[in-house]
Amino acid sequence: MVLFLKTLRTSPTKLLPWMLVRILPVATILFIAMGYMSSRLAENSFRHHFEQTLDQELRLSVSALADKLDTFKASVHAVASNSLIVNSLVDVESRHAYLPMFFNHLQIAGSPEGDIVFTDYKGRILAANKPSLRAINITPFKSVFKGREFLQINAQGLTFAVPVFYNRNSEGMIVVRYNPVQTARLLSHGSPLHAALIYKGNAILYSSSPEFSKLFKSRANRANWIERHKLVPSYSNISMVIAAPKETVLAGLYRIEKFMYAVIALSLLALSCSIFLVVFLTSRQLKHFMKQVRSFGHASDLDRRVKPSGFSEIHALGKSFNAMLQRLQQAVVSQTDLEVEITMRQTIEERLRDREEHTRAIVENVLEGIITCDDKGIIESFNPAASKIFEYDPEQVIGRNVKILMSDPDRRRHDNYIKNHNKTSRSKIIGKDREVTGLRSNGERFPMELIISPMLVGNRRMFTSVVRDITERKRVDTMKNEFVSTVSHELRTPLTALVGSLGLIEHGALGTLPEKAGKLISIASGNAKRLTTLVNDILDIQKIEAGKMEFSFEVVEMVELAHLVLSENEPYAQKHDITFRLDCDLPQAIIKADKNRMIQVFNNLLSNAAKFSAAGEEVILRIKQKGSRFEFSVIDHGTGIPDDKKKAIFEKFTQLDGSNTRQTIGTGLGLGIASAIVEIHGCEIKLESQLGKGSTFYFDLPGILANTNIPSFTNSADDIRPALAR
Amino acid sequence: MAKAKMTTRKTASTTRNVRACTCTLLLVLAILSTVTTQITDAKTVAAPPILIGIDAAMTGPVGQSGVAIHRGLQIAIDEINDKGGVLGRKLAVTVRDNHGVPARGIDTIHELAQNKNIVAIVGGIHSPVALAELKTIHKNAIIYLSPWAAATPLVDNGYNPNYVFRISARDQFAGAFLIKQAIARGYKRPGLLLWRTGWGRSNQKAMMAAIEKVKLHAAGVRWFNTSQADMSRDLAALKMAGADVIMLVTSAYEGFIIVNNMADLPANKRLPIIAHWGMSGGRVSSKTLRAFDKIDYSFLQTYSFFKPTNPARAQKFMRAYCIKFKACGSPASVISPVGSAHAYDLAYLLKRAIEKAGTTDRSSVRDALEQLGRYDGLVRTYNPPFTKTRHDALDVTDFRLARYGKNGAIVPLTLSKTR
Repeated sequence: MVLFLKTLRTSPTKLLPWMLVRILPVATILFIAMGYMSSRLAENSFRHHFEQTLDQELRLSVSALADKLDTFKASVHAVASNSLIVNSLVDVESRHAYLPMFFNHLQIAGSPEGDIVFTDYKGRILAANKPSLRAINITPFKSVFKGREFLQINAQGLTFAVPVFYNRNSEGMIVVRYNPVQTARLLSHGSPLHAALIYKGNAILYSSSPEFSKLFKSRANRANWIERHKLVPSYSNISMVIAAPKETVLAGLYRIEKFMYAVIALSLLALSCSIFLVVFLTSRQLKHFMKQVRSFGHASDLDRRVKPSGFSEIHALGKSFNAMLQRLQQAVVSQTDLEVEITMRQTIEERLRDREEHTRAIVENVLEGIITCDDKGIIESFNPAASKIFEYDPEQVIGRNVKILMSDPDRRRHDNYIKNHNKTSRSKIIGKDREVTGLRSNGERFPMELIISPMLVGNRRMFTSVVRDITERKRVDTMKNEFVSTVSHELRTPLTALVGSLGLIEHGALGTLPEKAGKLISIASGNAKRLTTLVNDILDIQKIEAGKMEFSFEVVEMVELAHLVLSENEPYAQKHDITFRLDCDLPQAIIKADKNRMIQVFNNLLSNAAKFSAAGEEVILRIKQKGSRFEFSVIDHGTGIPDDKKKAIFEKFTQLDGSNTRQTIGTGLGLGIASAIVEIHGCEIKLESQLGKGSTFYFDLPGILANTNIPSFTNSADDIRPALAR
Repeated sequence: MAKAKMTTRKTASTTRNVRACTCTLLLVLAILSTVTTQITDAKTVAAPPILIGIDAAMTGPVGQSGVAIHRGLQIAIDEINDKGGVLGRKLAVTVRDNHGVPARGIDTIHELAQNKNIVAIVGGIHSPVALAELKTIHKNAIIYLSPWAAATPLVDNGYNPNYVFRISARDQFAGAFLIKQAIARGYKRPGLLLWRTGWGRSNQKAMMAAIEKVKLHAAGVRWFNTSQADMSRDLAALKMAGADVIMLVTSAYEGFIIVNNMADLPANKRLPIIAHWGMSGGRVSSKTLRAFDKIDYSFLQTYSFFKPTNPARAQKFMRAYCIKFKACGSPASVISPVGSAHAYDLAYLLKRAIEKAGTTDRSSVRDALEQLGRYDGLVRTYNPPFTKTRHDALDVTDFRLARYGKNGAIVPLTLSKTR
């Protein structure tokens, strides 16, 4: 068989024999197996059903038997509790008058005739229903004298004893005794449908079927019987069995089995016919399809299609064939398109490569060091400028933490910055130009400017650092500052002597000078004073820039201060032939400020205003309240400042050009100093000006109430700054 | 008291030692040694105590009667022992519970009679038991003292010599007394409701004789059985027969049923009941007490601590009772008083008889009991208590009627004058 199937696989075979050989044997085995299983199943089910019927009958019979025994017991109890019986326990002297009468031929209601005995508490017989009963063995009945009933059923018969209670004590006993025949009569119950048998162990107590009884007794094989057993509840020692011979139960089933096998044979025949029919029809349709397919042979045939027909499977085969034709047709067409696309991609790649090289060239040639790190600070790229600054080769640092390029304390702060940034995506340092201390490979520290910018490469967060070495610039700044400071100081000492001496001469300490000499002295004195002012201003500027100028903040009443300033500058006004006027209707204006510096600011502003005013004009100092702040303005009606100079005049050494005829002494530093002082007070000087009409310099400061006790700030300008910014 | 108990146990062990296991034997030996030590300490003769058996219903509905008898006996014995005992020997009690069942009673008599230290047996409330025991009593020639059972044939038993002595009512007198009381109250047709026992029949005889004597007719006689659950049909039958009073002879269990049956009738159908004393041997339930309140119920008593015949002795008795049994305060605290009072006097009479005989030989003591002189007892003055022909110590003069008062106290009634 296996060999045959193998040949089927290797060589083409006809469908019909193939199917018949494959299906029929399997189907036959399957049908017979199913038939066999069904008959077993049916037998089991029949048997189970019958057993249930037997169980039902058994349940009813057992319950009827228990009821009968219950009734029997109840009847005996009724005798035991009969008041005449109880009375006779006490009424010794007269009980002979009624007790024998009561017991003569006494029977338990509904039960067969048996022996009935009445005893006292020690089992001595007081009365019996048969004169022959004289004494009984009381050993089995000890429990009865303790108040419990006694029931014994065995091959010898049935014995039932109950206590006779008097004042709740067991003072006597009623014993009922049946021989085996009487016991069987007691246990018989109606006419059972099947063989019923009551037994205890091997002893048969009652049987309704002599045939089954014989089998049960001889312990013969009873496999041909279906039987169900059950203990009688409350009478646990005895059981009942109901039985029936098997053949009577299953006769119907055997008839059904014969019929079933006939049906199987017919089914196999029908199956063969079906296979034949299916194969015949299928081959006819396939032949038709093959005929269509054979007509295809040239490329031009790709436009044609077959006509799907027949069973849905063969119809689908035709459709698939058509779909294949269509794909072939498309494949021929799209081959050209593919070639074009390949060329295009190559071009794009070339362009990308060019751009990358372009970018790399920029990075490598730029003067600033450019370093990229990942989000953990590991260096990924290091351009030539960075190499030059830090004196590392790129291979030495790539893959290492960027911290090696920093010195403390920046190195320690760095980790926190990165951590913070990763956590919050915000940072104090990112995107800001900072000055930090770098560390070269040889351990040298140097100042550098650093800008860190985050970027996303793919999904990775990275940082780009741009580094500039500012060692040189720093050095130049320091040199300049030192130079100015030294020069100014060295100049001031001789100048003071010079101004003093010239002053003395000018004011006639050496007697009256000739007119020409006096004029020259006056010029010399004026120029010396101007030089002194210049030097002082330069020193101030220098101090401010170095952050070394000291401020002493206190509560200042500005109206009074304005009066003071104006009176101090009065000589200056007279000199320029102008008038200073205070425009203020406030009783007082209290602010927190450095009094002397404020005077310096006003001096500068007023002198500037005077300088640029025409003779006879008026310069106004105005104090105005604006909400909680006070605004201080210095207003002149001079030439005004052109828009393009408005910014520049606040810078060092700037003055308007010489179109002004009265351009007298001035360093060009005054406005810068004033501006810096006001800035340190947390504000800035603003300017409004119109050419030919005059200028207004103004600033405002927060006012405080006269009695408010504001804690005094320390003297350092560095400390005051953040406080004011608040 | 404690000593008496020990002695009791000792005797019991002697009779049972055959059955006892080794452990029990050891225990008994230990107890024996203790008892011996105590006796030596008390400087008495090493002789075993003289025993008085109790053969009574100690449990069940009338168990209280047995307890009362035991208490009365115990008080007397303790008094006697305190004064040195009898013939130099202590007195002690050994108790048997016969459940009120004759068969047990007979077996008890037989068992106690075998014990040579037992000189007399004190019976219980049940006449039927006592009557059934007569044959065994005389066969064993043991003295039987009845403090309660009242059946006439118990004493008039036809045995010679007669070993039965009684301080209690005698039905012959009691039946006549109860009938006379009924008639004195103006009733004409008494209906008899009797317990189907020898005691019931003894009363039937006495009552019928008394009725005939005054030329009246009983409405009828109905008998009920022991443990009968309902007697309302008997009551109805007597009422139908024209009874105007019920003469009742019953034990406690059945008696309480009858009282409740009567109380359950509508007020106009209830009949007065004049009863023998059987019920006073039992404890009255609160339900039955309520039933007593509804009906006219009076019953026989021979003694009452409320109206004592000998107040001095009664006082002494109640003091001892109070101390021993923690029941104090009122005469009502002495339960089933006739049982205790009769047993108390019996103990003293027995003591005198033993002293008179000078021996514990039962026959000699029996003879001595018939020859005692005057004795001022608790219940009455006995002059003499017994004679050769009279073994009943009480007579009709001792009889009185009582009823149940509050909390079951037995309260004596003032007697109506009889013809």
